[in-house]
Amino acid sequence: MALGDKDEPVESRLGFTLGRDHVSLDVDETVYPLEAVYGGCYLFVDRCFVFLFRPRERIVTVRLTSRGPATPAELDALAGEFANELLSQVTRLRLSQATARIREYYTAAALRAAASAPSVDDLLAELDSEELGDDPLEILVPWEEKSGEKDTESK
Amino acid sequence: MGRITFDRSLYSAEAVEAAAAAYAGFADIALERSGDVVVAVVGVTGGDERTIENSFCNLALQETIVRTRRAASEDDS
Amino acid sequence: MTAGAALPAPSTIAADRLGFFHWGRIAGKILVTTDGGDWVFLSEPEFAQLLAGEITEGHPRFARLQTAGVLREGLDLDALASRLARRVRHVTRGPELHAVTMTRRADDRDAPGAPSDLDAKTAERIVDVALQSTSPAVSFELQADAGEPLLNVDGVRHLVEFARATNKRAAGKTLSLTLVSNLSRMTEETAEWLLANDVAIRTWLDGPAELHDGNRRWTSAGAHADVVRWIAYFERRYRELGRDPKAWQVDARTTTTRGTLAAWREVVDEYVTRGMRSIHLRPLSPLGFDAETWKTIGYTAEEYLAFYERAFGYILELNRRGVHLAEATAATFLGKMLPSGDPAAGDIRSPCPAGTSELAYDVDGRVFPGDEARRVDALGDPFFALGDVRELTIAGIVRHPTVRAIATASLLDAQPMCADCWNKPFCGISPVSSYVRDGDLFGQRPRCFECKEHMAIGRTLFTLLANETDGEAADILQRWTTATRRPS
Repeated sequence: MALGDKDEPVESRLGFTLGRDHVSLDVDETVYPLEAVYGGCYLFVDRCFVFLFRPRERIVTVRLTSRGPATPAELDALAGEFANELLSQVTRLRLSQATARIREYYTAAALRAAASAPSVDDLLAELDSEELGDDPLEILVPWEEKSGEKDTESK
Repeated sequence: MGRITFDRSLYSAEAVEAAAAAYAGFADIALERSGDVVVAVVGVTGGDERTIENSFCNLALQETIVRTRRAASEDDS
Repeated sequence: MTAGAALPAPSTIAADRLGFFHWGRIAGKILVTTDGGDWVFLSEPEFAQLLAGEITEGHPRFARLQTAGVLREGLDLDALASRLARRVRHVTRGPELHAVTMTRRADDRDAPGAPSDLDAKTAERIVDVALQSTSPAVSFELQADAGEPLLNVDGVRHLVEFARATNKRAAGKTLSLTLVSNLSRMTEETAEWLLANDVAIRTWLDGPAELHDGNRRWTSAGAHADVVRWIAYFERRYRELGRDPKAWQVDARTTTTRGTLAAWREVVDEYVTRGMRSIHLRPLSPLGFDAETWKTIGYTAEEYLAFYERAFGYILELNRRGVHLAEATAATFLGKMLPSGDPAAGDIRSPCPAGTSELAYDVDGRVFPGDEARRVDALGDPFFALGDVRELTIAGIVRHPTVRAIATASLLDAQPMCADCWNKPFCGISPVSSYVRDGDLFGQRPRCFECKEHMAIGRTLFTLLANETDGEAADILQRWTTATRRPS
């Protein structure tokens, strides 16, 4: 607990650990992967000082230290913002992992297209010659079907 | 003299070295690699001690993140 | 404090029902953007539905999100790739912009270090190499270290004539030529020759006379009286010759020093008074200024952005009143945001155009990945020099390791913060600028000057676009995407 102006203990409203000029929060890596923690930290290093340490296995403590004087409420708010950003980072990470092949495909296709600059006729000819059943990334296969297939395979 | 312990599961040793080099003009920073940690012994020679030490740690973290990200994208390619 | 006591568990997302997108909070809504440059505004509940995989056929947002490539259902990867290809085509298209330094002289005396002027033979070699580019369009910008290429007026004439003749005979490209001049040595004879030879004019106009002339201590600008006299001359002659005003207008750039920051209204008014149709607001580069001078004329990102916000707001207000004045930096972003724009134009691109799309040549024939890189060399650091034009081919230039390093360092996908940013499809960074500011090509640190500037401009534009009831603002911004582009 932190000491306020009148030496009275100050508690974080949001349950974080408050110091005189810093606030800390423990993050479980199994819930918030380190890559997400890094993503959040990178966005905060211009606003405050960020330090990471590991109090025990799987836990990362993120300590945010204010650059100048800060009240307990301001420190709490800073940690609250960081926690919100962590949520965003995890969502981004999951989306990024789930769409890795999609991104590889369209990036490679874009660079090929940029290099060759085909004419409209070429593009139309390409579409005409495509086999409609070709769907290597299984984009068009509904997820229920994919899940059903997996269940069937596992039996 | 401040002693700052960087956990190597969270900070890249090379990143800490790069940050130490960048702050050479503001502090004498000696690094000791020991098992799972890198310990920086920091003697600030110019500027506010709190700011220099914290900024050095910030840079070590930034450099770790950039290096980690770059390594990941090289693996992907 | 253990995990879970303070941190809520992240909710699961239906990732296999989603395409790839970025998002950010703007104007009280969630802006969703894709690598193809599509964007959609959602409310918070709609965004939650999106993440939960609940936006399916029949949902009011389904069609728009599907077309944008945000949903997995019906995801047209080839169409998305095609939209992305439009944004990155500059990487493989071949260098289009060639900035040629005609003289190192600041006056009629020779400059220190030989040569002072670009000689005819070297100029011809530069033209030959430039026209080797696979780009269907090539543009030459004829400039000078101290701001006046007309100190080598014979060289200017020769290069222009040689370029046109060679292009006509052998290359058949869409060729454009621009004289980047402070107009201090302009004469009527030269002006008429430039008009007859279809050479466009770009100059510097920093504001009303007192501000502009006060800035001249630190810039290459000519005297205010000369600048406005020749702007008026060329604009009158364009009208008399029946030139298309969209294609033919004097282009002027501002140099924003500390003295400019409080004079945002006066600067804009000056451009309106002179009949200009675009104003290019941009921050000052620290390149070439020592630390003491920078304390006098430099400023923080926050100070610059306060200036920009006021100037931009005033420009928009003027546009609502019927004044046609576009802000060119905003127009560059809009070109990537709006369908009417060209996403592969301007200097804000990922990968950046230095070396792949833009080259610069010094008077001695040395080649650089853009003019900022050339100026770094002119100040004594040869880091970006690519070699001598007499020994290089265009293919060799674009494959140079320095060009590759710049392209790699500028790729937003590989930058920790940029890769996740909602502004990524519309943004770009310059490793050359990073090198100038931080001594490091990879200097794109969190919220560096350039990042703050680009985020602020992106946010300003999207805030306007988010307001669906303000069709007038959307029309104005749309008009800007073509107002600052010369038809090729």
